[in-house]
Amino acid sequence: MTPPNILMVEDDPPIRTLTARALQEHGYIVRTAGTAPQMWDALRAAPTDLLLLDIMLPGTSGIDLCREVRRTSDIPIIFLSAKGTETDRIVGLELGADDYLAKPFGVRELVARVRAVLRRHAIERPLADRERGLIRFDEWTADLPRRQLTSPDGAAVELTGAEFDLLVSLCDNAQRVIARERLIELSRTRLGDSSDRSIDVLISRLRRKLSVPDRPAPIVTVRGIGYMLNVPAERL
Amino acid sequence: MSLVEKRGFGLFGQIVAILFAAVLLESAASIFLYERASQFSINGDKARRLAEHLVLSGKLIEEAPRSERNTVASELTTTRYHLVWQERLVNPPPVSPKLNQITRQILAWEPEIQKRDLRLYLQSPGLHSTISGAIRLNDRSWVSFSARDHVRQLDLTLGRTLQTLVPAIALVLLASLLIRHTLRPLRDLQRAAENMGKRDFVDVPMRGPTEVRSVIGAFNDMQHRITAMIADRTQALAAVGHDFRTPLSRLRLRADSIADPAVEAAMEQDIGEMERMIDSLLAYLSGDIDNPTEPLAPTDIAVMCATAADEASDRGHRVRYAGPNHLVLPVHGIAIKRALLNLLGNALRFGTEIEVRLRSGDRRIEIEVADDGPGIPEHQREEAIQPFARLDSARARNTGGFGLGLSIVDRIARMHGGSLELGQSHLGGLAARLRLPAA
Repeated sequence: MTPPNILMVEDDPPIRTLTARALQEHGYIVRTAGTAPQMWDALRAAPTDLLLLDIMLPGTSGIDLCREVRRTSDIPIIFLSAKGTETDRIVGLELGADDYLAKPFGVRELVARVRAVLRRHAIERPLADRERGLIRFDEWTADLPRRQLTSPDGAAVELTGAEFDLLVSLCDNAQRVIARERLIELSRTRLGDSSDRSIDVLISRLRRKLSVPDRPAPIVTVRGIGYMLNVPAERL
Repeated sequence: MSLVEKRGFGLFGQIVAILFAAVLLESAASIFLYERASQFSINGDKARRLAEHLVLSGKLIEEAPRSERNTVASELTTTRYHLVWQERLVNPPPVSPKLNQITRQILAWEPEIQKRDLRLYLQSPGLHSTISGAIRLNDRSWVSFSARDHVRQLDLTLGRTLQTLVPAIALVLLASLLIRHTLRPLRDLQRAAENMGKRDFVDVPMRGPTEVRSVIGAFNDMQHRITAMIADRTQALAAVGHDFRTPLSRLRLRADSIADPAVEAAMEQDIGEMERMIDSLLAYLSGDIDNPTEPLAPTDIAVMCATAADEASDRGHRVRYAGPNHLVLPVHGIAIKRALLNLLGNALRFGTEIEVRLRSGDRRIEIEVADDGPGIPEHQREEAIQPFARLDSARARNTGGFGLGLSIVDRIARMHGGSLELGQSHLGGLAARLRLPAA
């Protein structure tokens, strides 16, 4: 299998070189571009598996570039931004970026995000036509790009990264029992913080956070095997 | 911008106008009073008697040698009239209206008196008014007289007093109203000066006298300049903050290639600290805290608190959450989360055991972040909320920030109509209480 081909668009030469070197050390093929025209040339020149896009580029904004790229391609995009405000993150994700990384980022974090986005894209690609990235179950809505959960009465419900990923795994296998071991395995490949919380703790937290006064959270324990989301989940 | 848009009377002009009005009123009142007095009359009998007495007395005193004139005058003094001979005319007291009508009556009876230059006054030595006056003798000395019986008809003392007082009072009222009106723009200016820096500035309306207008104009210009200056500085500082991120990114990427893991970890810690400082600075400078772009949206505050505690405990800290499972409130979610994380970050820096508590009442809800750290002495709590606060105590060591955290929380609380209060925690350290009005 050929290593994934990453195109990095960043106007600061040292950051470009340092990031490219770090990604290459982790086995990726990296090409770089310093401006928008260079990016278009590079996209035409060779197939690209992932785009790392700096939001603040000379002349054009990465946000506009992202919009243009999205018109013709569903190539995964990770935004890199020195702005780092929550609103920027949301704007980026709404434009169809797959993830958002605030500067200054470390190599480990970058590699984890790249890996997660590529993996998600590989799994989701068979589903073809790009979804809005919403999962609906039992009147709850999970917004995958924003990593946000909305309750049946419309309130924003905030989960930790690990809890959100676990919930998504449960939804992806809705109404099917998932073995604890499989859930642990799924959560290992998860990006971000190195939490080694046991699945049982995460499940009990999820249950509390997903409970509604008149009904319990739709997560059931299957004794000796694992857990199950006992309502249908629909991808939108 | 022209300082004077519309020409008005100057402060000086207005005061002169007020004085002019006062004098005019006063004169009008006096003229009215004197005119009325001059129209007084007495009955014919009295007038004739007075006329005869004056003619007779004049002749008798005139004929007497100068040395005896005083004696003659006192001999001529009757129960009705008091007579005094004088070398020259003694002027009547100030408020002594002339009695023109009575003078005419007397002259009608005794035309002879005309050559004696009769003068009649209304005098009020006590409570009652009497007629007094003087006639001239041939040798230019004078006989002055006063009627012993008071003129009941003319008993106008009280009325006259009132008549003098009423215009005076009216005058004072009018003048104070006018002056108040003149000074009103100055009060606007004072209020604007007091509010400056507390809220968004508003131009003070240009009105009032010329001098006040130019002061208002200068004040408005000054407000504009100060606001522009602050905006410039803020922008410059924010730009510096942004620009730091690029070298910081390089540094972090370079730190990854350091062979010694201890050095790498230490460097990572420093970079992290710088990053947090820049973040807090940019958050403090951005208008987002006071004028959030994100809308108010129902947010489960209880889950937010629990998740913040869970995240910290996943990173190995001892943080627990105590409170209801759910509590939905319409808030600016990102801002409230930032406030919560600031409080939690503070607690983690100074304490080892932390509790996030959520309490809800009828009128407000309270998020409390309690730690077992050194706390903040009561007299410094107010100061700790100020931006760039550096407390000179155990809290100050290794603060790792600009001291903006609590002031950001305070602003977020106030933006929601709530407040931030620092107190003593049940764990022995600081308890930061973020209060929000209940929906």
